[in-house]
Amino acid sequence: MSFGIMLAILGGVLAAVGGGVGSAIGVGRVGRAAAGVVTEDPSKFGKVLILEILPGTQGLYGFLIAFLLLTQIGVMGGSPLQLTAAQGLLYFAACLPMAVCGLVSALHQANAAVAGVSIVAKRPEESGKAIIFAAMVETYAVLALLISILAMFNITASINA
Amino acid sequence: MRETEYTYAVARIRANEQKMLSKSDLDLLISSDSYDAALRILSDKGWPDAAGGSVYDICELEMKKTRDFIAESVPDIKVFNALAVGNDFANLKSVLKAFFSDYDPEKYITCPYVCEPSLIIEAIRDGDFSSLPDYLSGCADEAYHAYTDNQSGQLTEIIIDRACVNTKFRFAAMAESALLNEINTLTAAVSDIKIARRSVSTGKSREFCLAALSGCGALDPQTLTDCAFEGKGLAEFIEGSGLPELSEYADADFTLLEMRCDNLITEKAKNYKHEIYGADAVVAYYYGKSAEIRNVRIILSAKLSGVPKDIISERMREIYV
Repeated sequence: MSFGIMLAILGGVLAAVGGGVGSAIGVGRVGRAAAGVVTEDPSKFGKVLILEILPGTQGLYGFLIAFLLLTQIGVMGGSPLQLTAAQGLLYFAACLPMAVCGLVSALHQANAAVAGVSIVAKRPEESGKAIIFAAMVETYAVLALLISILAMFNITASINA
Repeated sequence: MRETEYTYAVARIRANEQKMLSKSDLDLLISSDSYDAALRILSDKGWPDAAGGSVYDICELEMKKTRDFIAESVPDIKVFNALAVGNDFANLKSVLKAFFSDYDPEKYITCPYVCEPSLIIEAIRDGDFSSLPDYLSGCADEAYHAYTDNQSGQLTEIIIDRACVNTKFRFAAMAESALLNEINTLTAAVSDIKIARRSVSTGKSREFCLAALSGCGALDPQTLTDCAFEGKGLAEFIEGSGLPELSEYADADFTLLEMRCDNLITEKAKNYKHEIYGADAVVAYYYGKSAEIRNVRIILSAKLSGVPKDIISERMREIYV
């Protein structure tokens, strides 16, 4: 196995770990707040559940990037490409937006969602606004996901050309 | 402890804040026709149904509910201990006096506490304070000898009060609560102002006054003593010590000074009303709830005594919600 493919796989690992760790911490944090509200008023379960789910998407995005990468470099099919170190580094760099942004945005989205849980606790009729505040952070995770996918497909296209 | 560990407690508090009495609820209570009518309103608002109970019983039940709620919500008992530790010193004082006056000390216990009152009773009975926690044992030993050897109730109180203020600051630092520290600084300053003014009005010496002052607040004990005994410059000194909000009450009646202090505590607590993490949100709720219970106590006592509505309104403390 070449050094290039090792670099590429490392990028995929970082994307999965960054998004996954961020989401695990974020969902756990919002979960604690949600549990606090549901202890006092079980009827708010549905509203706080949506807020709890929001920081979980970064983990899915990280998984998606890692899966696409493994497919692109042929690891999933059992016949990995022979990548040069430079090509491997390109794949590694393509995964970084998702790795870094996934981790950071999940943590900040969790903070916004915890604040949203307080809104649901005090003004359940305003829960839609609480969800929007937290969902705004998602924009940057989606942008990172898109840029990682675009970079990866274009790198594959240039290698195959 | 990381402040995000308080997420569960803070969320429960936010949900519970909905159940606190609002300004219109208090107005409704004030304008109620009788004590029983006020009790019915409170019962509808979720207060303990204490029909036939005294004002003290009703307020104590609600306070116990608040304490239990905080104790079961917080991840770290340090914050709860910081709120309760002052009562250990109140219990020490009560037990000491009750024991030597042949009263039952159990009847004078204040809740919540950190140190089991039975330990205090046992220590005073045996004259051995080694079983008490560190923060209490030295002070208990000193106060015990001041009471038994010198027969000085005042000296005993000074020893216990000073140790109490110091311990409250230490526990607030351990609980990592900036709000509790601010509140302790304010209450220590108000307590020192009252001691200095009372020393003058009761003809005590400057030395006595200096010994009695905690010196833990923002006020320098020597200057405070000088201002109080010379009868001038107290307001300017308080203002210059970083407490301008108290300065205009420097020479006011003690009731007004205490009311101002209560209102300032609630104002400080309100600054943490929108915090989503940390021990300060818990401390803010505790003081907010205490202010609410104080208001209810004033209203119910006034209803029993037939105090006019406008007088009751004047005595109302600032509310948290």
